[in-house]
Amino acid sequence: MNIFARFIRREDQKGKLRGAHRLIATGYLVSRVVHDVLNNIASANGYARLLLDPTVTDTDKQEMLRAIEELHGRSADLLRRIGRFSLEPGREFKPVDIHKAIDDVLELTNPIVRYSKMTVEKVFNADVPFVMACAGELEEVFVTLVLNSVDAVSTEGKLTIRTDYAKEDGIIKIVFSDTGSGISRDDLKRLGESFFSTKGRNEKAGLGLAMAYGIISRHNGRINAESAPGKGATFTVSLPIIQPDRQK
Amino acid sequence: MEKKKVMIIDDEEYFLALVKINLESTGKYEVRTLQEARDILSQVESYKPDVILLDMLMPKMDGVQVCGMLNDSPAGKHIPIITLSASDTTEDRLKMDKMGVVDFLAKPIEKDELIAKIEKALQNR
Repeated sequence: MNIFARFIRREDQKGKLRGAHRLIATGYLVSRVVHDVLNNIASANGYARLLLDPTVTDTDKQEMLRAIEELHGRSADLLRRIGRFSLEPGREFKPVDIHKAIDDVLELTNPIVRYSKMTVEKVFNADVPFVMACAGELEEVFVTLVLNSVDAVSTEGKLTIRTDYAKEDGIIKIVFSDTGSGISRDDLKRLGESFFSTKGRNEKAGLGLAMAYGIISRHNGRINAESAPGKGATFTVSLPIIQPDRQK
Repeated sequence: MEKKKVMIIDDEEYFLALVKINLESTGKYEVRTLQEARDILSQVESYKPDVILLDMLMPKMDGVQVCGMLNDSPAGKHIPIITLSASDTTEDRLKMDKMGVVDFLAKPIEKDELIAKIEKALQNR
């Protein structure tokens, strides 16, 4: 096989792994989204039945209609978000509001985070500018980092998401810092390898961080991981605000 | 006739309101709703419910943990618990059986079935 063919094959395999990871992450999120949507439907159905009760007053009926509308809106929003996340993102680079991207990811992962032992704190630096990036791919990276923190925080704990901007370097930083179980020094060296997982063979495919490292690398950025067992983990995503080879 | 006291613990506010309306409209029950289970023991001590309806999947503290706390408390261990869940699996039911739960209800809940299960739990108390 010549070098060109080998390159094509490698890129094709990378694409398949990315697709596989997105499917796994989607499946993980879907189970909780289904739970929330079922609950909303059950309540909406209950209110709809009460509306047929002739003893219910008009004022109460108004309240019930508002409840049905709210439950419908919540369900539609959940399904829209998971539907959008499940699709392979375009590779187009556009100006991205990082804070909005993080907020979107926190909405998307809320059905899981809400039932976890972990709370989330955001510390956003208002000076952080828009960054040229592929929004869908960044979302995938952030989802991976948030869900990894959920897994790491098995007792009461916190994830802090901090943003910062080094104006002189034109670099923004998004720091995901959790108070979870942490990662050993040996495992830390292997993060980013495909099919390597610290959570045991049966629990995770070990594609999330490999995919995240690949995406951030394509954005000319880097991910730095710091951790120690029992001391939590900090993942710092550094991104240039412009992509020199994509600005022409 | 004295109304029976029902306590419902579920994180979904609309679901809580719905069950409360349905039960209180019968004229047979007085209902207290809790959106989180953090202070369940003090609530049980002060309200003294005749039966508890408990959602299995809640933020921060799930149904299994709440059952454990109630079983370990003098005020809670004799109160019948009926669990509620959107996912009704054999595994869930076995887990709840071990916790001494008297009955299960899968969401969406039918009003008549809910009342029948509450009455059954009250009779066997």
